[in-house]
Amino acid sequence: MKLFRGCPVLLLLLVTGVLFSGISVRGERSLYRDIPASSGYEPACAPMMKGIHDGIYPWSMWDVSLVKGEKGDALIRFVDAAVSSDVEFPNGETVSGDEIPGSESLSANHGEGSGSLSGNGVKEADSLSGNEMAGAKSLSGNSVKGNVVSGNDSVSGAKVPGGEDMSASEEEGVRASETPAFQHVEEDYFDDALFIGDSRTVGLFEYGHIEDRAVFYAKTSLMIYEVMENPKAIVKTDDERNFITVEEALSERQFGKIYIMLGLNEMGFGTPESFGKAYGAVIGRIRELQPEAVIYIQSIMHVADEKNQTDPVYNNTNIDLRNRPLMELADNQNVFYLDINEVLCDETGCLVSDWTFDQVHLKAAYYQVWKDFLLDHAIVR
Amino acid sequence: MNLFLEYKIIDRNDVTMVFTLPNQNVIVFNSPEFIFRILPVSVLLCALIPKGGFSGVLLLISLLLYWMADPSFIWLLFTALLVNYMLAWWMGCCEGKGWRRLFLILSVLYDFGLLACFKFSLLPFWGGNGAMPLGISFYIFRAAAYMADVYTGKIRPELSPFKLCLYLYMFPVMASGPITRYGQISGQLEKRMSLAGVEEGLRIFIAGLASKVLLADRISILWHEIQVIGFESISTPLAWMGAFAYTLTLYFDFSGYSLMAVGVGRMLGLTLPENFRYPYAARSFTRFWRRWHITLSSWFRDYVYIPLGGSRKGKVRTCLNMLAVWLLTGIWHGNGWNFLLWGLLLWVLLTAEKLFLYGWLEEHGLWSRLYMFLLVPVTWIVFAITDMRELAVYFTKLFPVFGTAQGNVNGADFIKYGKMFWPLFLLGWFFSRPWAENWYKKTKENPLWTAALLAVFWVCVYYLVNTSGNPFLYFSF
Repeated sequence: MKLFRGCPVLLLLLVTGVLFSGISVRGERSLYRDIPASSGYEPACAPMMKGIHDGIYPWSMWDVSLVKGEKGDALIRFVDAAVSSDVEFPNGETVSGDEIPGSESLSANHGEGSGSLSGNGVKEADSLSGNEMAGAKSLSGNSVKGNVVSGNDSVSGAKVPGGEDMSASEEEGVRASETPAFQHVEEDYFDDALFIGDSRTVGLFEYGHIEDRAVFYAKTSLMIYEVMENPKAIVKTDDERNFITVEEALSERQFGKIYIMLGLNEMGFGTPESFGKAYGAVIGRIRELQPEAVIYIQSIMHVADEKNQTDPVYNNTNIDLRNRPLMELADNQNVFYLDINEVLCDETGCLVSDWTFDQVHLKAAYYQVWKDFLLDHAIVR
Repeated sequence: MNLFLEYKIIDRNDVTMVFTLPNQNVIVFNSPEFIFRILPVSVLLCALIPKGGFSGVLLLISLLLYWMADPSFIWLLFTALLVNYMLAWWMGCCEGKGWRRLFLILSVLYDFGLLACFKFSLLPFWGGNGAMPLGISFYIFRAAAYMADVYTGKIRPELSPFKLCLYLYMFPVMASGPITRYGQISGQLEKRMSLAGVEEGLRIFIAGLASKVLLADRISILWHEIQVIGFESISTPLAWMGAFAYTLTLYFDFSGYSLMAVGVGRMLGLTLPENFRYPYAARSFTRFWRRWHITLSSWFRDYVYIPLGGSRKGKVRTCLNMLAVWLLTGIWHGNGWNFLLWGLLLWVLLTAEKLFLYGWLEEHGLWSRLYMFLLVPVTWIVFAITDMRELAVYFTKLFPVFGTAQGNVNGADFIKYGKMFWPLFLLGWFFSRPWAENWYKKTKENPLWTAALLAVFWVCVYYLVNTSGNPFLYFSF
């Protein structure tokens, strides 16, 4: 007791330290099994601290259902599922990983949704699956081991193997109707547009000067894995009091065009394949909810040179690996792929270094370049 | 760029750094490595060792940590030690003033030549990549202070190279000061550890950690955001918010770090000098610089200003002496033109105060507060922005009367960031005054303080684990 009076902070620190470490060790296999260890040193109590950050509190240790994985943090569970082959979607349906990603798995996923897909014509569904087949082939083949990994070849967008596959499938005449061409439009094009994205899209909202025209469902660190059902501060209801999910918002209001840019935050999670699959599921769901909308998948924007060279995860090689499955999601009828890196990158394929401070986000003055690119690559129908 | 930035640059590495060598985190007080491994192990080792072995163990730990953090430059420690030890020894042997002066000049040439080599990358095979040897600005200043004190006869030359080595390189002051004097340290190299000292040191350490992790690192996000937007595209209110954010960040970053150093020292039974005494509560730059980075400004006062004659040789000479001090202070902080400009700006302000303003400021409380409130952030902006063109752009934003740069301004930007950061600004303002400390001193025994410190510590750990340890959470775009 005398000791405690003499140095209470020291003693309590030791006691709590042992306690927190104990909780972390105890929960390593149950509560904290999904929490990734960092590459550097971290204290023994780190899993508990990270758990709290993800909304998993130590007292949940005794909550049997959580430990068994029946509930818990949706994102982690979802990412986990995406990495393994079975993807569980918010509505509870499950897609088996054995299927080819793309239209088939999509229609399998949303039993009723397949109606909306085929509603636009059987040919389109064919072209999708044809496209996907080719895509899957290139994925399993040279793209992963081949030149995409080795360097910047794939930066030029249309010239990569995936692009060739696409044009090949077109030449085969799978697609009967003509592909609409991109054209230049004026800003009022955005009057019925919706932008979905992470902090980069937030930047477009703040500095694109189209916030009065277009609607933005954008939030820093938003990920494709959570975009539809994340309740956290993305879409406000009309009375500005409550938040609803993107999925709910899309069910309530129709848009003419939907621009999506997501994928950078996801780089630490899953594989390019699981990412592409999750992205495809989101696109499928959006198509279902917004059958009339033109959907633009924007390529994941590259990072600048310094980061590209030093970051083991967030570099352009990895970004390109993840852009490939996105290209293959485009059917060029309703879903289009826009390679914005064409205008934002220098000749080495890196984000122009003068246009960014943190190597990731455009400086405010350069959002105009992005917006102009979108205005030059619009589909009018 | 060094001073506090010397360890800030290190900070960035902990995102990808695995626990392999070299790992500068071992010497960075706010890294989990230091808090959970190095600190407890060192305190325990020093506590367990018998009295006679204390300084030896402390020296071993310090050199080991330096080697772990920066193995490529460890030889510099030994050459600097050897040169200064020998020259001081010879100085002690000589009676003639000429010889003593010669040895002093030789040591100055060696110490500051070495510092200049790295600071200005004079030798491409050393400083080519711009990497400064860990803590060099600080141990060179400690060595120079030692030589000057021996020269003036204030202290006797240390005959034990181990003691001198410990003075120069003891790990609590290794990375970023405080710049101790040999007279302060020489009497403390015997073991004086106690449980009460460990408790007190721990409390100080937690206060410093909170200052760094909960205030500096949080507020610095605003300054970072402003750079992401680009200076040409911010509104004038946001430019001022940015200047205040940088002002608070710099203070809590460096004073927090100094506090942690004092705390570590106290745990080991050492009393290290205070480096900050609430400078933002000062009402003139004259007083401000007696309370900001005290060990550096007193170093310049004792070893540059006073030897040049101080204020005893007339007004003109005083102004020139001050100019020398502030140009050197500017250069010490970094080799960009902006640091020279920063030194000049401070010189102008301090000279004006010396000549006529100081008395007026002392009498006018409200005006002096307003004067400091507006000018301190302006001086820090000159310090912060190393690119002169960018600095000019920022000034057109602070003072739009000069016309503003072409950019893409969102006029409502300051509302967004104001909503995000006002609680931090409020906390920053509160804790940059002595109120909390005074309150603590009065009610030390209250168990609520124990609970608060404990909670603050774990909240800091929470932030440390979730921001630096895990790259996926740190980089949320």
